[in-house]
Amino acid sequence: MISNGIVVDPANDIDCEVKDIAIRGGKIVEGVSPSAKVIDAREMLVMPGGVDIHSHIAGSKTNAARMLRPEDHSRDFERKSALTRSGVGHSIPSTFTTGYRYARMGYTTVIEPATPPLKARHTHGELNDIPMIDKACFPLFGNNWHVMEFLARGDVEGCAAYVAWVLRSTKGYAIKIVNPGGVEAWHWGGNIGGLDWEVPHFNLTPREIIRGLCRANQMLKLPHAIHVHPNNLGKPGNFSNTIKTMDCVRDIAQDGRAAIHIAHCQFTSFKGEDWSTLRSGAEEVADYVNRNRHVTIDMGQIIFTATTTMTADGPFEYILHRLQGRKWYNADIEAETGAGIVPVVYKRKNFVNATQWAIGLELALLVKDPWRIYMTTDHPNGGPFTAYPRVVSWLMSKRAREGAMRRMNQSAIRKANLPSLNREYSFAEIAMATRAATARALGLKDKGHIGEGADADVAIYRINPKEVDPSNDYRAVRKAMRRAAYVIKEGKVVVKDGEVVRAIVGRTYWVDARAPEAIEARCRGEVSKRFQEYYTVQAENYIIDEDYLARSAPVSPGGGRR
Amino acid sequence: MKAIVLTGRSLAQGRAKERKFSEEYMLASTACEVDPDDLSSLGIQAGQNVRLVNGRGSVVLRAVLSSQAPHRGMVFVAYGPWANVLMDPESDGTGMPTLKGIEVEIQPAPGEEVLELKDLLRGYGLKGG
Amino acid sequence: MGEGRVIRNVVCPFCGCCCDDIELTVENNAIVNARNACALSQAKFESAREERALRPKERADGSFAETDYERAIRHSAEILAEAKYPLLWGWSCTSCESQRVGVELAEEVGGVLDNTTSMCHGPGLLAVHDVGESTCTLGEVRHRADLIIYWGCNPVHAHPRHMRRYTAQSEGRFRKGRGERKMIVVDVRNTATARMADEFVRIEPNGDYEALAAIRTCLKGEGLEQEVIAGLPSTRFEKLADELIDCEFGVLFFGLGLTMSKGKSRNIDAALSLVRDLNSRTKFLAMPMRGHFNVTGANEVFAWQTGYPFAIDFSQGYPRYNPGDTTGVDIASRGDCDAALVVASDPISNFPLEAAKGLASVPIITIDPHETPTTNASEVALPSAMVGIEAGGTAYRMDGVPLTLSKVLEPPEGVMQDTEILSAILREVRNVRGGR
Repeated sequence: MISNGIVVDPANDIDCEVKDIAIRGGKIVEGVSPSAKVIDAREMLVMPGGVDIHSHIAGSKTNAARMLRPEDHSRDFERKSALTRSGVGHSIPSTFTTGYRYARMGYTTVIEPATPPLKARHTHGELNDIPMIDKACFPLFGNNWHVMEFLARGDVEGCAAYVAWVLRSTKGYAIKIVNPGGVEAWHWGGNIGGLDWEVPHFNLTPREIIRGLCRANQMLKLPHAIHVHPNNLGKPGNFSNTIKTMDCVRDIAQDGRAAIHIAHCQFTSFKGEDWSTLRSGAEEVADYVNRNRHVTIDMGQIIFTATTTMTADGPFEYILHRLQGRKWYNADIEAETGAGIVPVVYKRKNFVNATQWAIGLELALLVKDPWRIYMTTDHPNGGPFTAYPRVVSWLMSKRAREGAMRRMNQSAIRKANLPSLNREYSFAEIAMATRAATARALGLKDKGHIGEGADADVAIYRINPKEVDPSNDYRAVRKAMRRAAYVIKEGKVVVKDGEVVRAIVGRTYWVDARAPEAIEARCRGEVSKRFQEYYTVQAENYIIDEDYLARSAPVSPGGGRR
Repeated sequence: MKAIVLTGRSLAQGRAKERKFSEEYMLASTACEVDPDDLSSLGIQAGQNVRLVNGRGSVVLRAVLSSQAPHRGMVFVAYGPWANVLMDPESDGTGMPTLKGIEVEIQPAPGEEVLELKDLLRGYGLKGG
Repeated sequence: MGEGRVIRNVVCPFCGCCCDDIELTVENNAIVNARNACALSQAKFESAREERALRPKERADGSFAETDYERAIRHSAEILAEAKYPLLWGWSCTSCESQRVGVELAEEVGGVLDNTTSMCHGPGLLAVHDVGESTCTLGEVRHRADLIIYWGCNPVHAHPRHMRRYTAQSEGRFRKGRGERKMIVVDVRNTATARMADEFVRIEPNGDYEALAAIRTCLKGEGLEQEVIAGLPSTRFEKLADELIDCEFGVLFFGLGLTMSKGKSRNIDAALSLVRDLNSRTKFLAMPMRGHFNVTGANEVFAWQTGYPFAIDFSQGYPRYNPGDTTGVDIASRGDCDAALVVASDPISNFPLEAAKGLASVPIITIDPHETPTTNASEVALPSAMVGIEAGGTAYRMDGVPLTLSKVLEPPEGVMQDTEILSAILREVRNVRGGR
């Protein structure tokens, strides 16, 4: 029993109410017996555990980055303790350290958003070794040969059956699309610059890929919308393509559901013709999001630090390498997707970086519906996830933003909208942006809230939301959110005063997607015939058994656990 | 005669490497592939023994006619305990010892035997099990 | 297990090709036929029962005698628990599941965890730290490559099916066969692979760095000042540079000819830099020819759990990485370690003699399916099941694709799996420590 805490649980309309939270059997229940163990949460903020919708924590490119950059983590390490394994941190932490650091901040679920299906076994190997949190991964589909061929023929049903097969086989949770068509073009050294360009050799356009996968998503009733990293990421002027991307599925959007999620929207909200005329396109993008309920976005906020960019958007990373000259890693994956990695340093005095910093925050402050904008840094692309408390303080406090802006490139700040924005997030809105809304967007019905029936994943922070004024006292907020007073996972206390007190293994969620049997049967034959031609592994060896996952948690489409 | 030794994988050595004490492994690992012109310079025939010497040590191997000639002044020996007698553990700060391009002196070794693996190891004071 | 049965889609546990189309016929717990298997693969599968270690052995009172697993594990745990700086070496010929236990054990005993990468493609990884790498999976080569270069490697001998399955002789979506591809081999001698090339470039031993630098120079439009480079007329490199630019999709496979020759990691640096530079003109990628079937897996598992791919020192309670200092051959030849655990590897055979002697001067614990010079030099030798034949698990192909190894035979009576042995040693180390 968590007693007398000040609860912020927006999904259940609770906003800073003193309330008891009862837990039994790993779930939130209505009440428990008087002999239950009590956590005295007086004067402390009680929220659902954090749900991070987009963070590159596990898989082949994350590991390639670790190997590329020993210098990233040689100075940030954690010693082995009685309860915890040793490891390294900063922008590409090792697996054990990743789990502990998320847990210390009160996060209990994290999504790895870009998994190449051919290497999904690697992703799960790493997810198995990330303790403390529940996880899921999103397989990549936007440059997949089977997908492109089904859609070029107009066979959306076939595509849906194939997507279902891949999700089941790779134990994935959602459809991820990165630079659709562009990564296939990159496999010849090229790229795609807009929704209606033709993908070389494949006779279709990014628009058709996105629309087709959106329809497939709907047919399969997957819990999360298509999760999209648009074409032209990182290119000045790309905001218009982002809006077109959002718009390209408007006519097929279903009521009451998001049809498309745009990831790390900061990187695709650039206005201007080139780097010297770079401006924020956040206003236009936010305006579109405000007027169209079928879209959700996450921030992709920049932190001023040395970090690592990593993405399936291979051509983008090559461009970044040519721009900056830093070392460059690239890995193209047959018939599917790719990856690129380039270290980066974001500097306050740099005009472009300061503009990017403003863009992320402008998006968060200008999008009005807190259920549709989420807080991320696209870890580690914008910055390490350990910087989240800092981002929270910027969202909650104009003073914090002003303090930060004073040290930045003033030309960029003058041209940004941000100085004139007065909005400050409330605790409820922070809860939405970091847990309630993200869980809802993901269709994880028992996460992101602490009403009856929810998973008992709770974060208690040493801060009194009824007394503290986050606008002025943002440092206190940051401090409290860095090291949670208590974190409860599945009903057990796993963190106390920012230290791991119990090491546990979380679940790996995946969707047991199915298309109607007749369509699956038709597809099976086609796919297995072409599988041999396309891949250098046998189809049988591509499939991951459920017991490969340390704790498999399949989810049925259309809601509910299996 | 001065020569450079390259060590590496060979099909024969690969086939036998799970059976270190087999005759197949010994034959594969003690073959020293010599360019036909070098065989002439040494005054020997393929199949006769040669001794390779450098600052690190010396070992008797069996000269065989190379199928990858021409490579005058260069010999090839498969990885293994015999070749390792000549190798330098110095890794130049990389962890990798220098296993190719090692300088040796090659002499004909008539009447000298190629040591069997157990004898080779014992000779260096390595416990023989 | 009386009548024969056929098992399909077996992943071969020999080289980094990890071919996953092997068909094994098993009769009476032995492999009688291996279809689609190359000579190396066949040899491994069909001789799986030969020269096997069947019983644990330990050295006591001057003799090396048979014992049981319980005593052997206890003895091993005591050696490791007492050691101040043990070396945990090998790992490339076992499963990822075993490698994971290895990391935990190394951390527990505060030792150095190193795999055979440090003697193989380690220099390549060092170069990647400096310049990065542009690479791909093998299917990309099969589908698109019209130019294939093998530099300092001899796949006919070390990766026999590489060309037919993945490169010059394969059939892909955009390249239908050998005729649509050009193959160049760069080596110091006319190897079996060189004889199959469209063009063989024979350079002087230790001339790789200059050769690569010469091509890069030409690529940048600069003239070459010397007339002879790496034993060849400099015009040869001008021509090569043109050929490389002219292709649509080129791949450079490199091997131990680069990592082990003079220059070591700098040779790979030059090769990877060349490939990177070529990307400003055409599509070009590189790939190291990993020798063992799961050395890539050892790098992956070590890196994700510790941040580093090999040469990890846990003596301070957290992972530290300093190749040249924390690498196996250096530690052994300097005599820095005071005990060693060797898993599925034979360093007494494979290390330069001086390093082998250094290793043999400390108590060694070996876990291996076979009798080897290392097991014979050990204090404790624990026999294990052959991974990929008698024990399953995960392995990573040379291009990072993870595959599942099969168990098709039962191990010899009473012989345990690596993962079990290592877990037991770890448990026992904790007991020994806890008892203090």
